[in-house]
Amino acid sequence: MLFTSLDFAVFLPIAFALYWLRGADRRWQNGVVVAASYVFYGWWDPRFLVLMLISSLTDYLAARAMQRYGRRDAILYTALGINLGMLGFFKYFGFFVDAFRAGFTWMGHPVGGPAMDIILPVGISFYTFQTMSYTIDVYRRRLEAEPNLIAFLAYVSFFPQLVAGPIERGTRLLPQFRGARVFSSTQAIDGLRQMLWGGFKKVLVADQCAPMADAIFADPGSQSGGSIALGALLFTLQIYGDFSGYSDMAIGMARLFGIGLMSNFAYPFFSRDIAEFWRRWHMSLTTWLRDYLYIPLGGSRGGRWMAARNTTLVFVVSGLWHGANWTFVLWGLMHALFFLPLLLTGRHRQHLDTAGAGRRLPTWSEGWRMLGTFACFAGSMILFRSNTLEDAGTAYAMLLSPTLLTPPADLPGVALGFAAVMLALEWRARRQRHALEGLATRWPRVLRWCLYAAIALGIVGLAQEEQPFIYFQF
Amino acid sequence: MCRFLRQLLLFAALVWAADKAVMLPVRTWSKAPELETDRRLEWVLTNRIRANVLVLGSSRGARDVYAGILSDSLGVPVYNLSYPGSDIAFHAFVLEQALTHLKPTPRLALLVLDDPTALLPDTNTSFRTDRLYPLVRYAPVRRALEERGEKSRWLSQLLVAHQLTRAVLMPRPKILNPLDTIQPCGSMILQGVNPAWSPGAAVEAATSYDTAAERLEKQRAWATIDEACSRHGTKLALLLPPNFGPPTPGFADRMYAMAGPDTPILQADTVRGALQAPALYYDNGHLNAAGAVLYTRLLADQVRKIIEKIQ
Repeated sequence: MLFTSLDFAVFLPIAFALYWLRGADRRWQNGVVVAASYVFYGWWDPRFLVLMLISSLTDYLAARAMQRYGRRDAILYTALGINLGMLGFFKYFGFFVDAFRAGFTWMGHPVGGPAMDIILPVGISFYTFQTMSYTIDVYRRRLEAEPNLIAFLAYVSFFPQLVAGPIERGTRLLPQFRGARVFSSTQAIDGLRQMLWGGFKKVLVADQCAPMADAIFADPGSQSGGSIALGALLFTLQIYGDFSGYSDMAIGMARLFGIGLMSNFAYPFFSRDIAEFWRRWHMSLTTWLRDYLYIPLGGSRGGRWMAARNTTLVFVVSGLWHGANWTFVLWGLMHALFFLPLLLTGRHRQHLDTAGAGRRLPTWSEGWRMLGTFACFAGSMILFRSNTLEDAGTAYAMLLSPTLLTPPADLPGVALGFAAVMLALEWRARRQRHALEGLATRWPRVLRWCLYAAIALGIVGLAQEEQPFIYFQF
Repeated sequence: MCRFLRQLLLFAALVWAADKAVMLPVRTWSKAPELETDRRLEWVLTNRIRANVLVLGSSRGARDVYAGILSDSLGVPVYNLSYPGSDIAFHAFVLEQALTHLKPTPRLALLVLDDPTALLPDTNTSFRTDRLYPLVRYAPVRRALEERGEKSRWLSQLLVAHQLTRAVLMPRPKILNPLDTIQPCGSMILQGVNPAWSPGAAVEAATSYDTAAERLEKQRAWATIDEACSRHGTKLALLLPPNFGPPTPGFADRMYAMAGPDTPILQADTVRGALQAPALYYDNGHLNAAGAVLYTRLLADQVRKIIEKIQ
């Protein structure tokens, strides 16, 4: 059930009405959240529910056992083993089997055997990381084990963020399910605004960029370097519109239910270096990897070289998290290479503020830095988007050939126009939660409502077939 | 909660009113249909074609059957409504619209069948929704898009905006592909020889026809064509046009079995007949102008017999 589908347009008002039916009744609200979330998730495939339930019960029971019986290490490793085992089997089994086969074949011992066709449950990487963070937090005594199973199931399955994040922490989300939520019109109305903005980014930017980006990357060998550059630009805009659009819809929707979710994007295209970019892109995953991988590995406590090693490992894991493909691993490594010079020269935290502070426009220096950071990211997206390493190699070869100067035969003016509007509005709102938030205080109501109506009609008008979100596959 | 619901309802009312005030005129007066180089479907929907005989098919129908020559030979108006790259489901849609909207109703429909992909999966042909996008002001086009899942029926009824397509919202003049120059009779005749085609190269031997691989959607489209012709009193005839290579073994037999005894099949004989010469072909699958003229003249005699029977 996609957020942009008719099924969801029926589902959401029903869930909303039931949720608030008995006012601020915590048990009722949590019960509705769990029931609605399981219906939402089961809509894809009811078999997925079993996996989510196993994951939820494993961590619920593990945390309770840790608190009650001691033997914390053994329980933690068992819970992590079950979670990572499920994730590994459903997401990476084929990848590792192929890698072993290739390795043995390379050593002169070809290995055969039947291949398994495993369905990847939608959103498994997201909820697995969420449940693991809970168990680790209980192990570290940062969080009390949740005694109420329904509240815990609501935390794991909360449908706005279930299938593509933000990856929430127990320390932040669970306390919200422990208390009753009180309806706030102001919050709900701004939540709708944020959903509308998410819809703009998804339907009017991402979905408009997708057809040409798909066509270019379907056969990179037949494209000129100019077309590959255009494809990289379009896919970069597409993935940002798609994923940050989804995140905005999820966060806005959660606010309808009185729940606050963490931000997942903070206008990453206005970053002045790649370190700042990663503080602003997919923040829930980046901070998860920092807290549960980078710091346990030693972080930067062992000096710069240890920090460099750990950073590289985090980027590789981040790449692998996105998918079972060598292209993602290399993509992670590429970003580590972008990041390490900043880390080793101690300049990775030089841009902690927001670009263009106190000014309407960025300075020339900021502008060039933003452009350079964008170009690095867009260049890396060729690797991310390519189906195989061979395709990526072909695309980079074309990009570096003299045909780079050959202008593409066709320019998607509509998609680029909407992307320009998105970037302009987001630049204006770069200190706010979402692009329409700032307008709420600055523009007269009539003008605002006209803009909202235009966006709504644009979404309805250009929404064609159901276009799945890219990050659902991760 | 009351404030929230009030604002939500107000906004919904604003969107609904803006939709009717802005999108309805956009739909009605969009220049998109006029900017198309191929306006045949619009002429069908607005009853601007006069034809006793219609030709339907994909590129083979458009390239191989010269409707103007057929018309001269038969002494009745003939119009070609074949669309390159279209499949039998699209042919069924076009025929249904033609028989519903054209007055007087055409008496004979000639359906050109692709050997061997008429009912088999084929990546080269599809339901040409791109031909429909600029024409959403017409209700049958909107219904077709809804039936194919391109648009939601409920949302379309609620908001005009959902009925629109990018072609209507942001129309652009179409660039004419010289190969697709449409004759006044609707045919798209090819000139010369495809530079990439070598008639001397060995033609791949066709494998036998696999009935089990047929697509249910295409079989249903066939049934729709049959049913539409019966309903409107239009005679259906099937055409198997020439290929430069040998025909697929079993394909013609399957088409005869599908057609039944009352539907004539006009089969071109490429093995021993007059349509052997490479000079008549643009490529393996299509005749050029000389070939189309010859094939259409040969066809005319057979079609005349069918028309005489109808009368």
